[in-house]
Amino acid sequence: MSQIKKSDSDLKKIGEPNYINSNCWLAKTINASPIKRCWYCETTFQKCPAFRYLIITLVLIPLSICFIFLTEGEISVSIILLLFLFVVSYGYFVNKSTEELVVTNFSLRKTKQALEESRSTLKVRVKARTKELQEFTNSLEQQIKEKTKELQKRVEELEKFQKFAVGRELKMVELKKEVKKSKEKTGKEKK
Amino acid sequence: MKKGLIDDNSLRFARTIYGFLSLAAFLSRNVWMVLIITILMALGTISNNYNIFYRLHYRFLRSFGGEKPILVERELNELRFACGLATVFLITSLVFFYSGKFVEIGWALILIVSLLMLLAGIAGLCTSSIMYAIFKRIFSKER
Repeated sequence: MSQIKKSDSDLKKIGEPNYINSNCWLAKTINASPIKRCWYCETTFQKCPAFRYLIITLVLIPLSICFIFLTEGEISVSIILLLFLFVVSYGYFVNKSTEELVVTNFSLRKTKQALEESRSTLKVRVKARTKELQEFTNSLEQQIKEKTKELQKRVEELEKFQKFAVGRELKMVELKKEVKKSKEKTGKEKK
Repeated sequence: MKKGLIDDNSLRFARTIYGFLSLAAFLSRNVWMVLIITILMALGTISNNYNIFYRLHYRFLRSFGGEKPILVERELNELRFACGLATVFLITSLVFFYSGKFVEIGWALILIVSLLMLLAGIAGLCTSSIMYAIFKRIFSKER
């Protein structure tokens, strides 16, 4: 039963209800999140601000009580009440700020992750688009090359035709001149 | 280990009430009040269903305030240990009061219970959870 539960908990991602922080010694040992904010936490137990506060409090309170007892000879109720008020109210604010810190850290990490994901997606898309454009450019270049070759062939053909045409024209002019000359010759002979 | 879904707010409410009651007992030096708290806590140790202040908040006060429950999966033994530890402290102090010896130590124990309960309830820092984890580690290593 506990094995199934454990594997269920392992599947839970950070931010999901009842997620167990694998870096936290306490959460791992009790196999549960000690407080709701631990659902969003990934730090170790030693780095937990609430734990640090608890240790400092549990050390400082007996020390301060001993100090008061040694200097005053007795501990009055008002001092105890003041100590309680201080410890509990300070603890409340430490807990609140820790919660805010953990949740903010989590949302920041999530945003960063989303940004990273969108960046990588964009990278892939840009790469694909660049490849597409490159292929298009290559095909265009190929087309231009083919068209240039074709045009070159046409130009060559035209040049050939022009050469032929111009040669024929010159020959015609020469032949016309010769015809004229021979006509003149034959006219003179008749006379 | 048996696990159960516990409403975080109700649990903290119960612990705060126990903390304030213990503090009130200490300030008024009322042994009967200590006895009542001990009985209530002993009931809570048997099962969370018998934790009167937890039930009171979960069943009635929460619905009055329109609060939604924050259900946290917890090991039931951990909760029993927390309640049981406080009960042991209170029973020890009652034994001191009854015997008439170490009465001041008895009141100091009640003060400790009150402080730890208030810290767990208001600040959300449960010392007994840490102690439970330490014991669990030790005993699982021994096994």
